[in-house]
Amino acid sequence: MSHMLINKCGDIFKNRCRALAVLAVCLGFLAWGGTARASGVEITIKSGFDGRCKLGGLNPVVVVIEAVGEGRKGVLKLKAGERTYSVPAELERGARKAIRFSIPFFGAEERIEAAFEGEGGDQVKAGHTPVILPERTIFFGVLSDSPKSLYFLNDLDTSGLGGGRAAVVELDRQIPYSLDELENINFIIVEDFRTGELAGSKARLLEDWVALGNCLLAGAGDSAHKNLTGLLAGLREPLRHGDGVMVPVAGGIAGSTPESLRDVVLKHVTPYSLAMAVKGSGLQRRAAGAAKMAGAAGGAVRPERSGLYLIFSLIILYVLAAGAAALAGKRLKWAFGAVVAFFCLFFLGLSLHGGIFKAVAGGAGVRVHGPVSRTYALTCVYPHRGDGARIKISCASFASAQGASPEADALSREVYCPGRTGHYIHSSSYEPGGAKCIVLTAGGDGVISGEIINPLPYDMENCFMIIGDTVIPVGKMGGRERLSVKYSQDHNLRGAGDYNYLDLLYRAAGVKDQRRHLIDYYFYHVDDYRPGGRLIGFARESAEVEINGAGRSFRRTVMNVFPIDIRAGDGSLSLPPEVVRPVADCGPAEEGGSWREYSGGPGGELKLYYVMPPGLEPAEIAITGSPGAGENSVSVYNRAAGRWEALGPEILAGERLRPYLSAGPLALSVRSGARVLIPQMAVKGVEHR
Amino acid sequence: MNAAGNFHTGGENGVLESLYVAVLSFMLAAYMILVVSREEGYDPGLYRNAYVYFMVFDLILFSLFVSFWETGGAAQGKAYLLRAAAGVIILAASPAPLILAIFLAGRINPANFMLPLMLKAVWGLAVVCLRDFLEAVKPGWRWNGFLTGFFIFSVLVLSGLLAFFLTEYRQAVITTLYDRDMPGALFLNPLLSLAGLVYCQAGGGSQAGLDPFYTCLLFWGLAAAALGTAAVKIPGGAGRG
Repeated sequence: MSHMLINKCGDIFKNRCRALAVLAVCLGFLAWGGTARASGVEITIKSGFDGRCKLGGLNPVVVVIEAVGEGRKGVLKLKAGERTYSVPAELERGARKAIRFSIPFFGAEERIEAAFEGEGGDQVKAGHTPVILPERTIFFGVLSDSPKSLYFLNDLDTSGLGGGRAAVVELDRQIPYSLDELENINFIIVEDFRTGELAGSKARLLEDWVALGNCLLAGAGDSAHKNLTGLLAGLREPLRHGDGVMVPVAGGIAGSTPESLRDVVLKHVTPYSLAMAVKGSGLQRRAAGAAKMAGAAGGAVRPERSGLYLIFSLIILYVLAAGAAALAGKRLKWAFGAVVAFFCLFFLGLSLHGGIFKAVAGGAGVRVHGPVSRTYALTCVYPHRGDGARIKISCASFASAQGASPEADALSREVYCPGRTGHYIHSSSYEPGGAKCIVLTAGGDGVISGEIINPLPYDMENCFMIIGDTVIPVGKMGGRERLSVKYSQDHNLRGAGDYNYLDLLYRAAGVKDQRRHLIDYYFYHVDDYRPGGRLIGFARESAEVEINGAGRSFRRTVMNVFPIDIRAGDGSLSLPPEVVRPVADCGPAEEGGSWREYSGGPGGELKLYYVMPPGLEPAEIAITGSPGAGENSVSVYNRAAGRWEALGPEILAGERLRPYLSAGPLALSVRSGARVLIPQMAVKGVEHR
Repeated sequence: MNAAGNFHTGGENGVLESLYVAVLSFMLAAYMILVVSREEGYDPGLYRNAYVYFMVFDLILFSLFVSFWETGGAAQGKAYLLRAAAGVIILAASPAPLILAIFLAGRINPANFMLPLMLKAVWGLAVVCLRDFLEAVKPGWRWNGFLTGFFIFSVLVLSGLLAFFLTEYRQAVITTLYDRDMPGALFLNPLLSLAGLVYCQAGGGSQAGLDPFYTCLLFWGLAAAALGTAAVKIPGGAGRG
């Protein structure tokens, strides 16, 4: 448009136009700068750990707002990708305020836009482009007074950990992170750091992080007197804590070479930690898959059968009373009207009590019990009135709403959902201090025996156990009920593919309808690599939700997954296939792999890592699925020689086994044009406890 | 019917009342068992639909029943209209507990069900007054009952058919019941008007607000008042008693 105008005009006028345009832009800038000063708020944004964020994880973002002139009141809005967060903020004159957000990044190009909206409607904006590293980057979180001495970790060879690039990030020494933010850190390195000076809550946070299944390395060299204090005091040997491990590195970490440290990491890596390195935190996968629980969450909102029966019986009563009153005759002229009025009032009273004038909620979820229990839930809320609802789920560390662009309040962890229809909110939470592990004994004759317990104080329905490739139906278990188990393994799940496997589980456990979706969600979307068996059961529990500021308790159907440790009866242990679950790596694109099958197509390669349970010295390993047969080629990594070797159908045993296991998890590589079942392994060995 | 003119005498009206409540309850229970208890998840829409279906069915059943409602006839004079109104209102209000039961079972936000009940009562009163007017004009004439029945049929069904043909003829695109493309006069049909109202209440749309409903309510209110007054004023109106 402006071009056309300029072309029409003469040269002189053209120059004038330009001058005018320049002047207008200058004036615009002046005016813009002026409003920013008048608003008197300065916004600074910092993101990530040491300036680096991880894709697909919850990252800390700190927004500092400062009132330059007089005090200000308003709302701080933060936009990252498609997600909006808002926090009410009040600033005294000249005050600075740092507001922490926990933000997931789902795209590598995402930008953060912050805006302070004053009460007068004025706005101050600021933008920030975070450095977002790929999901498979291996973060070495460093707690150190001299972090530069640890930068050599950037050159660590990570081919045994999924091959993502290593990145050293300096952690804030106060550890102002939440547990789910710390989940982005794959390994924490403590070197030249006064661990004992950590605040109690922060030390507990580190412990919980380890207990989840992570690996902490502490230098036991020159700075051992600093490092090995507080929660690390007296650490001489690698110490198991929960599902994770704390490892002292002799000679200190700063003095190590990348190779020697890689060996330490590979030797002690836990399946959880390995899965986090290879597959990332899976936050997005879980949030996307949470829709599977929608049916079960909706089912929990559904009126109970007993409630319907009550209403039926009241209707029958009404019919009888109305009929009697209507046919009563002349003496009771007004009886019919009175009965109608009475029942109207009665139903009205009942509905006030029963809560039809309140919002309705229900939920479903999967809880993986362990030293730190993880709960992934979907809550379904039907607000009573008004357009939209502010929904806050108690003890949720991450909440996201499905559907129309929700807004989240970062501080109170509320999610705002517009509209009056049902809202579905996915949330996840961690609860430290979980139930004790169930222990069963595996005899040499394939008989599993021992005592299982329902650790919950309430009933669990449709219980079943999965021990390796055997599913054992248990049925209903009362609260804290103990059951003696003696079951000869019949390997009824052996060789089952994705769908077949779930179907066998459904039938064995007698699970119907929506509960099946919870099982589906657990197996496909929740990473649970702890070696051992599982006891799975469904329970109804009461949960709390806050809708528009009013508390409301609701029913939630939760699938509880308890770990089962399998011990040897007489010192020699025989683990059936699938007790040690492999961590599967199908490459950065995660193509072709599912939970039990792989179909990578030509050129695809599947790498599998089998982490031996602690305390087990394997003597014999048999790989199922006849490796080397047909079109598959399976190779195993010889850690001693540093090369891949073709693997036939033979059993690895005795001395032959040593080079594959000596310095890290057993690694297999599968190349296949066709669809294959992921190979599983049966282990025989000696147990050292 | 005795000449004392009670709106409620236990006899035929009692049978009507009890049968009316029983049929509605049966219909509601059938919906609950066949539709609601078979559903797996929770869908509030199901209960809103139950409300819509129930109200529509209720109006049809009510129109059928109310034409047999004994009022004592216009011969009782000034008290006639009041008594007839009281009886019809109580009959019209008798499904109220059942409607509340729908809300209670579904835990949905209660709609204002008084509005449709008011329309129902006014329409019922107009039917009763028409019948008594005919009776006052020509007592004992064998066509009186037929004319009343035909009147109900033509208002409820024939005008509905007319609406259907009209929209087909105009090739109008009807998106909701209270649609701008529907001739306003058709909403004098209480069935259309009531269905449109409950559809709005259940979350459906409306292009004309609730105007068609209020027009209909006013029209039948005036009609009932006019017919009732006329029936009373007619000299020698003997009533049916």
